[in-house]
Amino acid sequence: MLELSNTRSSKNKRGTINCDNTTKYLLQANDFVADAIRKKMLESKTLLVNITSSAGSGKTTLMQKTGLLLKEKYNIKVLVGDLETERDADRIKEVGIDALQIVTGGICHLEAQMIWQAMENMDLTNTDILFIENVGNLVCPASFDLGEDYRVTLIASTEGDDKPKKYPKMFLTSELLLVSKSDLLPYVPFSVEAVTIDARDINHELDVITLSSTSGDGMENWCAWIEERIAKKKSE
Amino acid sequence: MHEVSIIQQVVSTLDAELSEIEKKKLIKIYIHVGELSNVQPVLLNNAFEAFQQSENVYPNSKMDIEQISTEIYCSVCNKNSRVEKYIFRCKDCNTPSANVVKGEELLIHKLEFEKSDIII
Repeated sequence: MLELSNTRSSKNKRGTINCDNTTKYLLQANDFVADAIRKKMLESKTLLVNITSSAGSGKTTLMQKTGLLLKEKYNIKVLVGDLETERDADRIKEVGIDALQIVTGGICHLEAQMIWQAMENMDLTNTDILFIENVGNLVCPASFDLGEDYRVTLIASTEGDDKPKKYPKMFLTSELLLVSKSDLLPYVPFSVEAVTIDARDINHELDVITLSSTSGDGMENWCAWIEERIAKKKSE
Repeated sequence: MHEVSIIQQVVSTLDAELSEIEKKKLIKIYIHVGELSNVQPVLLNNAFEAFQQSENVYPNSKMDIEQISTEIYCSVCNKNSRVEKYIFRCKDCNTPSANVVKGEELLIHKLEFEKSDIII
């Protein structure tokens, strides 16, 4: 509701009227649904993790490998967003992990409403962790709260270590930076130290883990990070 | 980014609150756009003008968009500090802070109506 101060209630509004009392936040609709998602995840004690990055940083491969490493111990599900095709969900299902594709049909990011609708087509009872693999885009997804517990952003070693300040909002709103494709570090001019410093100028609380889904390097640290948070969610 | 869908939100918010007469007498819509909102004031204005023309609504209204700079609160200095170049540290004592107090706004701040009381 828009609250207008200084109005004479029985007449039409005249002159200048402040709306300061209102905080009519124009993305309120998204946040309203995000809060509903949070409540739902609290009820089912499901950890919700939003995975973001540019296109091609390794999100889907990470979902495959993470799924394979954790599926004996935990009930894992993945929601994948893309403009078109079901390629990513298919790849994840191929390794035996339950995945549902959200096709946005041109929208460059996932919004809470899309997640809510997708969840209505899923049985999340006994699900320990639900990953949301966002649309490959470092810009728009940053502005949309999906009701997640944690936001994890990938930067691949091939993308350059100067990216954080170029996409500040994404790093401001994340809890973990994953430097992916670490197996390629010997071949590219990428400094993990430099990207960490750059990202922590924006968000000093950001965790950083370096890993390679392909070689397995760092995957232990990543899995430990997840397991800690699954346990924490269960105790809430 | 997504200026058109934001204008749609602004218009539907105003539609819900204002009478037909008030909509004709609405001369200015003041919007506050935070630096961190990723919304560009010029593009927002363009989107509003395009909307006015294509939907034939709010014919007498202009939009006034103010961009709000990012500020963090420093608990060491007990005051706000402006953030420049996306470095979230207090300018005086250099302590990092994640407490953003300004810069995330996306609000209708104020509405200005014609002052005359002529009933149509």
